[in-house]
Amino acid sequence: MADVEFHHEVVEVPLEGEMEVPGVARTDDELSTLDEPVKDTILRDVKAVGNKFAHVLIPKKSKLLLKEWDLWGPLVLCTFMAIMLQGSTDELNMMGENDGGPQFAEVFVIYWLGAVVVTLNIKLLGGNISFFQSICVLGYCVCPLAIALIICRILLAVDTQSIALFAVRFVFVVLGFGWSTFASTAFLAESQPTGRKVLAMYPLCLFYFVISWLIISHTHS
Amino acid sequence: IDTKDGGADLFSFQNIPHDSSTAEKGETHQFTNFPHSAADSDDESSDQAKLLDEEKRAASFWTFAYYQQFFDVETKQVGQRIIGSMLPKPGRNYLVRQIRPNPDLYGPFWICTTLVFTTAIAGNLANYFSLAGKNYNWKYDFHKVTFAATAIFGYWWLIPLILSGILWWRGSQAKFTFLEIICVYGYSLAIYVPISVLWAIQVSWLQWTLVVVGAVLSGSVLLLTFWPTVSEDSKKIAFGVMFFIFVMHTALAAGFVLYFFHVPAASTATPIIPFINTTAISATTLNKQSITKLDSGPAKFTNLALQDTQKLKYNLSLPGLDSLKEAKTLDKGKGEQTVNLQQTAEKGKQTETKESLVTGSKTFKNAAT
Repeated sequence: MADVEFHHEVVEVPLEGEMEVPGVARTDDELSTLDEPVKDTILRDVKAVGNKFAHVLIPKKSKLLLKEWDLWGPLVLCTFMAIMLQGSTDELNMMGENDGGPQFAEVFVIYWLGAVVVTLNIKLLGGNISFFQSICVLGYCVCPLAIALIICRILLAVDTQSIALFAVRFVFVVLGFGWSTFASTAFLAESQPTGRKVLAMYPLCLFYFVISWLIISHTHS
Repeated sequence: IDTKDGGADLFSFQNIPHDSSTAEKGETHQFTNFPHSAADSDDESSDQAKLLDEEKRAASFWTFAYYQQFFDVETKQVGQRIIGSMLPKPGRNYLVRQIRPNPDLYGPFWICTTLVFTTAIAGNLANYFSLAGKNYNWKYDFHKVTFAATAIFGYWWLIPLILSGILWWRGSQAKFTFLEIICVYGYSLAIYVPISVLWAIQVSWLQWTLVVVGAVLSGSVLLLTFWPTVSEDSKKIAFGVMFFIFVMHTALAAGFVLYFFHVPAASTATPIIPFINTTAISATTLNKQSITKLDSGPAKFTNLALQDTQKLKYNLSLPGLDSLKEAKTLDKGKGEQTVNLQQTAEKGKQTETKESLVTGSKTFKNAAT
């Protein structure tokens, strides 16, 4: 056996470096977000929301919408669409009747109730996704339809309405519908159990179809 | 390792007597006493089954898992159930074969929701087609959706409720649960989804043919499903229940057509006689005499040279409306004529005449004078 000799010696090696305790904020550097200017806070959230919109409009394979969900985007979209889609009731046209279109509250209810019902359906079928993540995805994917609504509104500003203009509006709304459905299925499809993917995706189609119908039949009087 | 005598007490071989019999078998020890936990295979499966049952019962009404059991279907199964609800097969009972293993609520719920929206949307389309092309400011009726939803979901729940009540009251042997009946009824509405889209075509005989086809096909599936349980009963009750099922099913379809898709000219295209603001009237020609704009107030004809009995025609043009035609016969010879304006409005196929809201008469000043 080899002889191992222990020498009792004290070796002094100067220690250098930093100690990091995980979980404890370093007090020198990052300030807590309470101290930052309000503009920074708002801009950070706005950037996050805008980032998500970009992900919806340019469908990439990313999990951003699922990992960091928020409901700002859906709220903004819903409010925007409800304002644009409501029929005029107080301002009677010459016929003395109202427009027959939905009220602001009705559009709001359709949007959120529809999103909740579709999400519940996904969960009941055994989808591997949380409630708010699904609502987040559904809400953000209405963005292409909102763009179609803006285009329709612009086209409706033309004085003489004709079949050709209606056809153009129709085409844009169909495009928006297809884009929305495609984007939302791209985000949600992986979390569904196999064999039930169609069952989970069909209510999505129905939801966007109803919103598309609201858009196409809205004739600004 | 030191194996000298110093470690002899620590490590030594001992003689263990062994049984020759076990040596022959090749075992070292035989177990004779089994502890309780080591159950044999029979006990194991029954234990597992008991555990599963307890788990099922444990999913109480308030947990999410309770509702998940109603959505335990695959895409293929839903497709098969939908097709089965549309094709009556006399030999095989739809409920027993397709639904019994696991009745689901997915199919019925989404079929009803789809039907609500297709009827509302197609109803609006039908309304539009029948009135487009004429100068009519079409408005779409969003509130058809709420009415359609009430009707469809009400039918989906009420009729099974009544039916299961009848079956329970008569002590039927088949023991169809309320859930299974709801499931069957939900799927039976599936055929109306494509039919409701076709109903938008405004051809009356086609619409009613579709009603008959839809009611017969899915109604017969319903009848065949419930006949075995009901036939054990007295003839009167049996036929009564069958009649009830079929009539309600047909009534639903007929109700749809009549409410959403039937566009008789009288009911929806009511001609609108708007309020006429007399200051807005500009009569352009009056017996080939141009007239200036009318003043407000009572209208009187002055100095009109009328030959015998002439028809006085006004062209009243109001912005945004069809032109209203007015024909009035005046007597000649009088310097002042008082005319009550009567409008005859033509909208669609109906003409309606009513007294003008302009009371009294209007003075037409002859430009020549």
